[in-house]
Amino acid sequence: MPPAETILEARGLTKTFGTRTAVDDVSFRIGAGETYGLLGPNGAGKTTTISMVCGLMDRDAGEVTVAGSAMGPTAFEAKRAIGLVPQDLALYPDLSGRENLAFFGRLYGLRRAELRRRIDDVLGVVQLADRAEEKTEKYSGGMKRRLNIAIGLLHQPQLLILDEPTVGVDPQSRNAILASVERLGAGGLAVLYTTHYMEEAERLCDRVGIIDAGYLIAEGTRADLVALVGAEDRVQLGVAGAVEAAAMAIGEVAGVQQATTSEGTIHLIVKEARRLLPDILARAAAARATVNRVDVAEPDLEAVFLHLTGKALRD
Amino acid sequence: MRGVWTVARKDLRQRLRDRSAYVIGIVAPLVLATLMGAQTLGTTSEDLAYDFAFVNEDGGERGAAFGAVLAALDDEGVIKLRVVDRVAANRLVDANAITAAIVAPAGFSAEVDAGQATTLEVIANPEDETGSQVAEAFARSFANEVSAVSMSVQTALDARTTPVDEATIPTLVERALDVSSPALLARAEAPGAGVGFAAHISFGMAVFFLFFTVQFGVLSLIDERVSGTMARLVAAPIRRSSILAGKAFGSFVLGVASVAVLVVATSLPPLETDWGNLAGVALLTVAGVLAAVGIVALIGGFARNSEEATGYSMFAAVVLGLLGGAFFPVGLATGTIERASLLTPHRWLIGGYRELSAGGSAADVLPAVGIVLLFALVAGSIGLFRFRTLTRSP
Repeated sequence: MPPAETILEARGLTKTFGTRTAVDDVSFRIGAGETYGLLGPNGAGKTTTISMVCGLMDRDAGEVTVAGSAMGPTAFEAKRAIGLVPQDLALYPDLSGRENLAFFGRLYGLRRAELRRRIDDVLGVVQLADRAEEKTEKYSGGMKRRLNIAIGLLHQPQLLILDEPTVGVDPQSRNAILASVERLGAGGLAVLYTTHYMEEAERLCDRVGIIDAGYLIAEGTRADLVALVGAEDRVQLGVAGAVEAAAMAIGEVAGVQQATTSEGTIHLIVKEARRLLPDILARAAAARATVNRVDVAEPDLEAVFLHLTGKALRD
Repeated sequence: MRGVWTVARKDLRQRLRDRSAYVIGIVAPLVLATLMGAQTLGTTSEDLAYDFAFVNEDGGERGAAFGAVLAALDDEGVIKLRVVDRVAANRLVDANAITAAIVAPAGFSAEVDAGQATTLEVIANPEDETGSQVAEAFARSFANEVSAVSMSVQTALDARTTPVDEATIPTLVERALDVSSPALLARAEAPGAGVGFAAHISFGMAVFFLFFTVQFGVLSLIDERVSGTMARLVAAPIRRSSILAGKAFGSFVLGVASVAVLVVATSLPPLETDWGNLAGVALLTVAGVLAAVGIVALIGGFARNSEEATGYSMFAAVVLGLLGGAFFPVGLATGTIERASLLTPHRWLIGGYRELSAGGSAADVLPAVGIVLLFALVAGSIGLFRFRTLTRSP
């Protein structure tokens, strides 16, 4: 159930570059305290959508309202309500972490004691207080990512927009970033999070919009989206021997809805795979096939994306 | 204004941490000015004058008139003249004591008045080819002025001397005509004449390197876009025009500071350049910095990346500097080059500084200030228009 207070409302966003429509009639809303994921492969239109939401890019059509203010090039109230964490490391390498924060803080109207207090606060949030005086060119990739987020949080926005913040980050820093976003969401901040990593969307987001080729093709909670592909599990059996015969035999098991083969693998769509798996393996053995690998995939956002687009998220 | 100042302050902080900014803005122009100026310290145009002898064997009005023209040039400091007989002239040339001798032969006036072909003779010094060519050009120009009658100039060149290049004669004649005509004798008296080369090179280097110094700020707009920080700037609650203005203001401050430091540094030994009226210097400098910012923005606005922008603007800075007289007094150039120099802000800026150095007032350089501001307005407007696109799709 969507939260009562709407922080971001995007309606009919459309952007065309030449003859290519990068974003086509995309609409979504984010409530206070909600983390909304925009999930899609590279080139799907996520960054273009964010650029229109933030007022970085002119829209060909559509409206954006942030915290009650319409977004535009001089919509300062709307801009002040947004904390942007761009995909690029938008930092000045020849300035220290503190100087980077001070510069962007001043652009948002923070001054003197308030600016110093906010800088200290966000440095604590991203755990960079002890490295604040160093030039950012000396930071590791993960530290730069964290500072990138800190800048977005500095002016206490109502909506934090993170554009693929974990790209190129080591696993440890990635986990730290995800934990930070979880804490911020739990703290009541509205978050718009774009990613092409299904696991991140599943972990962080209250609702997810799936975007592909500029279209928002589905939207909802994880449960809503999984329901789109039904409750079937996907099973892959690595098989040696009589592959086709085994597939036919397995296809006769009650609950197996589909059995196809490709290059020594039997692909199954099954209801309640865990319960049927012993019977499936027995049928394979009876058909003189040797099963050397079993993969069971319960429905997830990857499966949803595959179901909706016919391709994998990383394609 | 908050955005303008914040962006400019950040840019200045970055530049002040960049050692190359000091090298380009202060060290390089100072070192070059000192090295180039030191070779001619204390010299003026008078020191550089040609040393001629005049032999008047004619005794008539024409010979006397030519002698008078040469004497006038001597008075103006364009040449040094001594009037001697032919024997002394030959001796002086042989001793390499003079640049050349010009001889008005006996019967010169009579032959001119009778409309007959006649000859002015130049005794050339083989050790000073250029000076000899200038002497020949003086003789030719006088011949052209005194009579429409065909007159030849015979150069008594030593066998060791390279023959005079006919192609250079028109240029030399043009210069000689300029100098010997009353109108251009006035040019020799124009403000700025007599300013030493050391002073000229101080002005030239200050202006030349100014166009490199301001690059840092203007072209950093492209870097902001590449690094992704432009997105953050545009997402902030400030006007996009504030970003551009902040960049331009940062460049402006750097440019003014660079010239100001050079004014002080070149005023000290060994150059001891007299910059003259400081209000006039300030006016010219402000106009010059604005023009530099505008021209760099214009050039950078057409570049696809920062490397291309830097290359373009460096090329332009060098060409404009050379053409505008940053390395030599543009008055030494003639014809097309001299006219083309008028299309560079460098020419007007350096000319203005020279005028101030020669005692001119701030009011005297207002025309030059106006022209330089025109460069700033035209180039800056186009550059601003081009750079606006950088903030529209960060």
